[in-house]
Amino acid sequence: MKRITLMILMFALVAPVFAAESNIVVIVNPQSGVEKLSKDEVIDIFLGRYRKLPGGRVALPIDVAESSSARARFYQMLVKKSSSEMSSYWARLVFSGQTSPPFQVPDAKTAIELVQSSPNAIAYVDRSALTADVKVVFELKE
Amino acid sequence: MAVDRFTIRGFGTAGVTTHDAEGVQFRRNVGQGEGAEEGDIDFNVDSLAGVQLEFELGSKVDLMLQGVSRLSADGSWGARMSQGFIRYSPDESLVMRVGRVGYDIYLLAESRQVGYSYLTVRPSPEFYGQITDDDIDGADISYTRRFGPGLIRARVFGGSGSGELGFADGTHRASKSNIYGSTFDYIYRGWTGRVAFVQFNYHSSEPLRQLAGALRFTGFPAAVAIADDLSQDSMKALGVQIGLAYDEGPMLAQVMYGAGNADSLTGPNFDKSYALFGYRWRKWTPFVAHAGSYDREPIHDAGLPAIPMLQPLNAAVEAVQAATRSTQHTTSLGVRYDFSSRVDFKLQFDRTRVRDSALNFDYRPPTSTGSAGPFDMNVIAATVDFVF
Repeated sequence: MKRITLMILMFALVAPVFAAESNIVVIVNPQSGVEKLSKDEVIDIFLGRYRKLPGGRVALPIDVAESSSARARFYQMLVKKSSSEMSSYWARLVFSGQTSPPFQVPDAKTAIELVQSSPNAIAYVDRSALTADVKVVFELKE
Repeated sequence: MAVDRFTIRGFGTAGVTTHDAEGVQFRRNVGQGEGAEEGDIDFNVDSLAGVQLEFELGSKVDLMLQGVSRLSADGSWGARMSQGFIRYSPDESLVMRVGRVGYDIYLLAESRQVGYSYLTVRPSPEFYGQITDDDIDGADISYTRRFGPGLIRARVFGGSGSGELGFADGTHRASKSNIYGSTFDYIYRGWTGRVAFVQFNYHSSEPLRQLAGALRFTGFPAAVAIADDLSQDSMKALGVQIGLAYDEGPMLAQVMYGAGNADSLTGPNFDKSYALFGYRWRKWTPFVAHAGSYDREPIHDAGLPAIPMLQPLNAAVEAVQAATRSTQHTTSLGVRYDFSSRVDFKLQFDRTRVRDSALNFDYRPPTSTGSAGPFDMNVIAATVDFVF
């Protein structure tokens, strides 16, 4: 009984850490003038429907590599779609010449660097990868 | 102008198709000059391949070229440029395209050529099978803005279409038309609602003018009235489409209604409906669909006496009307399996009841060169789709 109580206590202590690390945050450049985004606005920007930030600035969405777990979790939490479903979605738009998918970079570090250098850039990263010189405008919680 | 970025992409479908209707060739649209024969394993009807080149010429301009190879109206595998346009987007709200552009009539899969982008093996022959090509040489403009919690998008397009029609007697002919239209979408999260209008102005063809001349020569008032109809410089057909789709999480559902009204005996007057439901479980997505197309007008006779000398004229008048018939309906059951984010496999069974339709070729005696039916057919197809 004592052992079970100890395990529950350990889990209770560790669980919030896991939860905090698994949250995904959407980030922009502090110069973008954007304070926060709604879920609908994030969906519209990353799904290529309407790439404008509040205030009128054109949004440049950034995807990390398809192999990244942050990317899979971001779209799963945002629109409940798997990688293959997102690929199918983009095939619809790309091959009909409507629009292009987000600009792809290899990792979160490059995504953050791009956001730091461009007031139009918008990316998503694990909260644990966050740096001080970008602004969080939306958070997806698991 | 310098090229900032160059991207090459491709897509394709390798499919096998078979069915059980004796004397009938199954095809997926009227632009195919041959179909799958009863009992044969056909590799042509549901297969195609395409490649796309995109040249980014700055932050607001790009050039898109896309070529597709597939079964064409002369029964051979032909390659054609399906898209080739300059896209200019001064701001994300406004997108203008000039050149050969796809016109926007597919609610959830804007191109019917990319099998990987939709759930079923093929777009519904009932709903889309009478469209020979889904591109125009012209331009389109789309405007998107936030409206309430979602987005509203309006698109207008116009240009000339140059599809080819294949006929059961092995002949084929160009179907030249001017096409104008507009679509209005409301998009909110997984929901998309659409109202679309498309007008086709078909140019009169030489065989129709010759038939009109022969009918007028008979002097019978009813035949002369038909001759006046057939000798119009152009025939107008207006299509209206209303659709609602839901695509979020594991569920995909779509319902559509379409109506066509032509101002000539040779044009289509139809009602069409389509419903699709799919639900993903891990990598599997089973689906069920139903589509129907119903001609509103009966086939009119030429109004000539039933004497042997005039019989060819009577038959010709009925044949030109029969070429646009599409009364049939299909229930489909299938499953899609996603191997990866680039490749899928699909298996689909269709039960089609053909009543009076030129979508498939009917060679049952007496040999017909017009519409087919009545008959029932079971179609089975398996495809592998890929994109890169």
